[in-house]
Amino acid sequence: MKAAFALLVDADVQNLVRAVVWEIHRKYRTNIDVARLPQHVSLKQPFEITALGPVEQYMSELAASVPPVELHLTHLETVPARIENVDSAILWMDVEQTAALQALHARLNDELATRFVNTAADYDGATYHFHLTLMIGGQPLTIYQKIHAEYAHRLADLRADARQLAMFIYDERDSLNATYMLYRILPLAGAQ
Amino acid sequence: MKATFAVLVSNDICNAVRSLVWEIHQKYGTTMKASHLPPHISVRPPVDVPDIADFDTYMDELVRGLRPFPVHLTNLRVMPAMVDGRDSALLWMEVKETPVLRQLHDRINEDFAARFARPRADFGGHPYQFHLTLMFGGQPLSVYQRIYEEYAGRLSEMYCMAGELAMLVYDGQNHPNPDQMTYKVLPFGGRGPGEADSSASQNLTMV
Repeated sequence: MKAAFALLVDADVQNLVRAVVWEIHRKYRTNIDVARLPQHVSLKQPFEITALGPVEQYMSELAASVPPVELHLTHLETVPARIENVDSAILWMDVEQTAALQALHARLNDELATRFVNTAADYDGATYHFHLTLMIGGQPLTIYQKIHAEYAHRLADLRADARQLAMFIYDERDSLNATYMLYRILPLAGAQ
Repeated sequence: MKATFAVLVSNDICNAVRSLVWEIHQKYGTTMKASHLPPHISVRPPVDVPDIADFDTYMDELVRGLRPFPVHLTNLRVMPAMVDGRDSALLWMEVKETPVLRQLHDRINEDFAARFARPRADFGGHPYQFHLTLMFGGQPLSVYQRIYEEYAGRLSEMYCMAGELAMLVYDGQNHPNPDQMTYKVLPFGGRGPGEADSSASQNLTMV
């Protein structure tokens, strides 16, 4: 079992993004599997957990100590990726890599490592790249490049107000068909 | 393509529901397909939508006239159902019907009929039963009955003030497992450009 923490973007930005996701999906038959999670900016990629209770407790402490964050979503980006043995891509919005976000990522890494075991995750560290994913796979890279060319102007330079922290969980007993879902949402400090 | 509207519940109720969904899924190997959408109370079954822009515009008009109202989720219930050709079930929480919910259902039915398409006969009018689905399918009915016996005491008598409407969309091209997602969320009363997002401050009460 794995877990991840992420900042949720406000409803206005989510609505803008979802309108584009749906339009692309209908036109290019990509997939919308990742849309099962609300639009978010992950603070760290999923990490191993053995029990939910202590992680929930940590989440409560974390949310109560982090004030709302303003996110700058700068532009759409197509990131080539091998998905289910196909040369495909991830379509995401790049997020301005601020010192505050990097500090939050570093804090998570430190605190999780202190409290739990085996919490390292892919891309941990100073080069962690904050982003907001729209869709993954379902079509070859060439289609994603076409999508990018067509939609890059539709989503650019968005300011999102992140006032909630989300916890996602992943059941990886069947790694080929990992199931995952939104598990918990808490307001950030002072965001009630 | 189909779409419908649903009332969203508070984060506290979402968290309580998801905690139980995960526990049941881990123990009984049920599915989490219902968790592709946030926990919600549909105000009517999805309707065919030829043009999403019209539906989008209608939602803007609809929420402007809505005000937050109390929601009472009373108890878990297992509803026998054929899912993927198998005798299975839905596990849902019953929602106490109130005049506000019924009026919203009736109004949307009437508006759908006038603007979009003829509403489906099943559940389109009385006795549509308001509910919040936790999961469906993945295991036979007998397993769902065991789940109910084990967990009926865990979720009951939950209250919140509902203050947001979600538009849920379904891509019927992938029948019988349509792709689905939350397309849009708006606060009751609507929100003008530059007004603060209220999604973080859903009021909640649980007993």
